[in-house]
Amino acid sequence: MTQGSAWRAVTATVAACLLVALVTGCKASEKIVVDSADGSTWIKCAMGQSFVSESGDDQPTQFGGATEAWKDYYCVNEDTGSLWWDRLDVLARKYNGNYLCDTSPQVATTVNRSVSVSDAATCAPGGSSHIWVMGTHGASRPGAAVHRELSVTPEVTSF
Amino acid sequence: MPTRRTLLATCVAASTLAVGGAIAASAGSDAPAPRYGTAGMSTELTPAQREAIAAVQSDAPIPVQDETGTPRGFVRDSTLTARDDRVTLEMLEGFREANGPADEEYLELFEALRVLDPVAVVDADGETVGYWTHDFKEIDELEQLTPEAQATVDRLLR
Repeated sequence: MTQGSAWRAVTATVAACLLVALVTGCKASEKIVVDSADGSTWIKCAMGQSFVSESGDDQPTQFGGATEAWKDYYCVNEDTGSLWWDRLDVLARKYNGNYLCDTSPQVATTVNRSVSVSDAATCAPGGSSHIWVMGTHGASRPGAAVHRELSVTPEVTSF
Repeated sequence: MPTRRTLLATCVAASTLAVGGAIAASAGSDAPAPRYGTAGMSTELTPAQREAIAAVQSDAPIPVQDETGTPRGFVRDSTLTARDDRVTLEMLEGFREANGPADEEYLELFEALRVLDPVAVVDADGETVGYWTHDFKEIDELEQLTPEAQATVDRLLR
C-alpha cells in the first residue's frame, strides 16, 4: 500500500466514524416515550400506575330541561418503595358535538392515592344527541415534561 | 499522490456530509409528536369527536359555546392547560389536594382561581369576546365575579 492510499483509507475511516458518531449522537437524544399500562373503557393509567375502577355509565339525568352526562375514573400512583410519578392529574372537558362547553377542575395528587374527576355541566338546553366528555390524564416526573393521555366517552343524548 | 490540501479538503467534505446527515437525521427524529397519547382511545369516534381531538392534538383553535348552546369563539388547548396547571400548582402549594370528586371547598377555590386567571375567548379576528373559567363568561360577567373570587382566595388560600 502506497502512502497515498493509506492516507485515503485513514481519511475515509475517520469520516465514516465521524458520521456514525454524529448520527448516533442525535438518535441518543430522542425523547423517552412513556407507554400506557392497564386501563378501562375510556381511561388508561400510565406506566407505574394501577387501574382501580371506574363508575358505571351514568344515564343522562334531566334537570329542568338540562342534561348531565358524567363519569368518574380512577388511577393510582403505585407505591413500590418510592413513588413512580411526581404528580398525577385528571381533567374532564365536556363537549356538545365539537363545541367545548365546560371544563372540570383539574384534580392532582403528589402522593400514593387515586385521583378522579367528573363533569356535570349543562351543555344543551333543549337537548342534543352529541354530548360527550374528553378526559385527560397527566403524569409527570421531576425534570420531565408532563405525559398526558386522552380518552373519550361515547356520545349520549340529552333531552 | 494527494497533497495535504487535498486531504484537508476531503476531511472537510466528509465532515460536512457527516454534519449534514446528522442534521437530516435529527430533523427526521424531531417530527412533532402528538401532544397527547391516545393509547386508550376508542377507534369508534364520531366526526365531531375526531375534529375535537385533532384540534387538541394540533393546538388549533377549539370552538366554544356558552350555556345556551350558542357558539361564542375559540380557545387553544395549550392556553387552557397552562392556566389549569398554574391553578393546580397554587392549589397544591397553598391549599391541599381534593378529597374526592365532591370536595366543595376545593371546587370553589379552584374556580375562584380560574376567575382570577381567565383565558380569553377570541373570535375569528382575534378579538376578545369573553373569557373561559370553567365555561364561557361574558366580559362584564367576569368583572362582576372577580371581587367574590378574590374574597374566596383570601379566605381559603394560604
